[in-house]
Amino acid sequence: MIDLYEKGERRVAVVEEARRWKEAGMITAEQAAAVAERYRPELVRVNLFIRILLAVFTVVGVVALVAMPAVTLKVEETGLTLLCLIFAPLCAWVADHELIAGRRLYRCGAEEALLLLAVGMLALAVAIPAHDWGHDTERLAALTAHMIFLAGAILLTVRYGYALMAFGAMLALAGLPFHLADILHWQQPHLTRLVLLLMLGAAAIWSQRRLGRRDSLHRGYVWSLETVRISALAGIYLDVNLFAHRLLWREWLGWTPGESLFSWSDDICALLTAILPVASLAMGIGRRDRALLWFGVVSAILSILTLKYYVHLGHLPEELTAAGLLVVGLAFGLLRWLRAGSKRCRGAFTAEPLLEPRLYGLDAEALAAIQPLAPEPRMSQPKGFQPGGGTFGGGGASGGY
Amino acid sequence: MQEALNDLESSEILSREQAALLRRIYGRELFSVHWELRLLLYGGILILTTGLGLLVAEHFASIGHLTLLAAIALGCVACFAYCLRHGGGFSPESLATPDAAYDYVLLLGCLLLGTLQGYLELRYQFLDQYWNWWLLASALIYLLCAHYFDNRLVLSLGLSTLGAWLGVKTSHLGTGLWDGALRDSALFFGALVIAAGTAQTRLGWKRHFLPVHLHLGVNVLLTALVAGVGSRAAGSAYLAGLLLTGSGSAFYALRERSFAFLLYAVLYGYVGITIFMLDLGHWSSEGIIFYFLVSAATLLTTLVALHRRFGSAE
Repeated sequence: MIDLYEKGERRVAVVEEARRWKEAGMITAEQAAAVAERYRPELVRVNLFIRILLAVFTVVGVVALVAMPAVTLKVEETGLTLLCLIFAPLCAWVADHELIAGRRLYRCGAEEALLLLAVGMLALAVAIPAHDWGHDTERLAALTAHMIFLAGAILLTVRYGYALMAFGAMLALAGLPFHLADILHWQQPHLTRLVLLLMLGAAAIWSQRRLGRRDSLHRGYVWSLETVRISALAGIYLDVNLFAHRLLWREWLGWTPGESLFSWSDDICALLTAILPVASLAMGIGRRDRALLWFGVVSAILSILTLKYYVHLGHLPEELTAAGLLVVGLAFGLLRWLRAGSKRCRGAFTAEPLLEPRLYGLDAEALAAIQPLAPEPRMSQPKGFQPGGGTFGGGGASGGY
Repeated sequence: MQEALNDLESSEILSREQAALLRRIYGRELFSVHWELRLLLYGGILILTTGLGLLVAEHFASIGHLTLLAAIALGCVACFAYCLRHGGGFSPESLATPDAAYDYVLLLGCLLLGTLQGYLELRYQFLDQYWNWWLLASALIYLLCAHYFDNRLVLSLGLSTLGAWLGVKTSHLGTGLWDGALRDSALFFGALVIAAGTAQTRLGWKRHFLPVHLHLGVNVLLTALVAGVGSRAAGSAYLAGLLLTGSGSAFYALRERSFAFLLYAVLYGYVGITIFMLDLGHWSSEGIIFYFLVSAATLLTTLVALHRRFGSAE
């Protein structure tokens, strides 16, 4: 990661976390302001919505800027390639040198859009001229453009720690087996699936291992690795879930079941569809890993909804009703069990919101529920606020922190 | 983060207890599964209602209409009884929910009520071609529940059902009038939702409902106005309305530092103005590109200036 972000990102992280502490009622507004002052980042940041607007209009502006000479000079494929080759490094230079190094922009939308456009234009510069050079050359050029996009997205992730670029890289990686199949004339869709599965599996294992040292990593890298891991797991799940598998492979891609290369693939799919959510949940609980827990819960619900593709315990309505009752009962039981524990905790786990995002429309109990866990704010304190526990002794820690 | 916590504690910005709690959270010695359990509850209700819906559709002939009706009604009554028993009663202020399941039980009750009404109409056709009045009834009941039980999720459900009723009612006007009438209905609905939210806030009644009203109302209003800009007859009037509403939305965004409303104002405004400009006459390709170039540059400059003026980072 570039030096500017390495130094500045820690400060940004502290200021942003302090805002969460304030929103969770753990510190006062004065304390949050003091933290913001002490850790004032030198990087320029903007609000998320302004970031979106800046990104959108940067794209509009740059596309218009490239299109203007193309239309005025009525250029053909070669001219357009030349324009892309001129504008791609220009965009990258403006973003890196002028906006990031010069104006110290940090995830402001404009510089992200420019870097993405640079990569996109470089890929287009390879793909466009091959249009008239015959079918094989065209396909080869498309694969090269694909590889350029993948390499560019990885480079941007490594250099700037952009999680969105990591997601782009994962999409490009997932598309690679299809492109290879097209170039190498693979007639068996199962082979494409196998390559996809192996690639995604490797990405998931690699990111999981890297995340083991998350405390020593920069925030941008942690987000990027999380993106890689969850995208890879989601890809694997979509590949092995028979419902998605049949929808994607048999209906969208027109593959007929008769061409099956591996007779056991459906059984493996069924097994993995059951194992993936359970393993994610177990690992999420064991390692206290929120991303894995979310993936586990969502994939478990999806597996229940697509249960009929694997086992037939009865009719679908009865299965779904029973599964729904089971899930609701389990969630409700866990909530009550966790809340009945000492200080509303069971070991390290609590059902109370701590620093969790408050999902819109469902946060009514958030502040009330936090009070038994929150320590007394240091500075001013609203009248009537009586925290239930000034010190913490649960979860094996001593109360003498 | 641990280094920062040590620093903040030693500089006495955080107390010892606050730093200790935060250390435990960041060290994962204290780990909240609050939203994970809520997601599980929501997913469970989704699966359960889907299963019940399929059960009704598949077996209503064998089970019998009255049995099914009674079962749905019973479930609905049980949900509302739970909420009445555990809720704190009506209050004009925001209320803390008594337990984690409360919101979901209320949502389930409301969804079952909708199923009951749909089933009654499908089976007995009480209102025949006037079936859309069921939608109005549902919307009003949902709004009543949202206010009584203080639930913004049900408020969103109520407002969107009210919008659906207006849409369905408008569709009965016939094909010739459809576009214009639908736009007018949307304009009326958007303005009504915003006005209701504003009036409530002024009266000191459920002030925390205002964002729900504003997000929905502003989006509906701006969408209807953008859709009208392209119409031959009253394009200018719609554009004027769009600019006025967009300005209001932007002003609110800057005053309340709620920049989502700035996003709405700029995006809808840009689309509306672009449609109007391109409809004005015959543009050459260069002219269209020049328009996009100049407009994007202008907006980028304005947004940067706005950020500097209002310090939008926080």
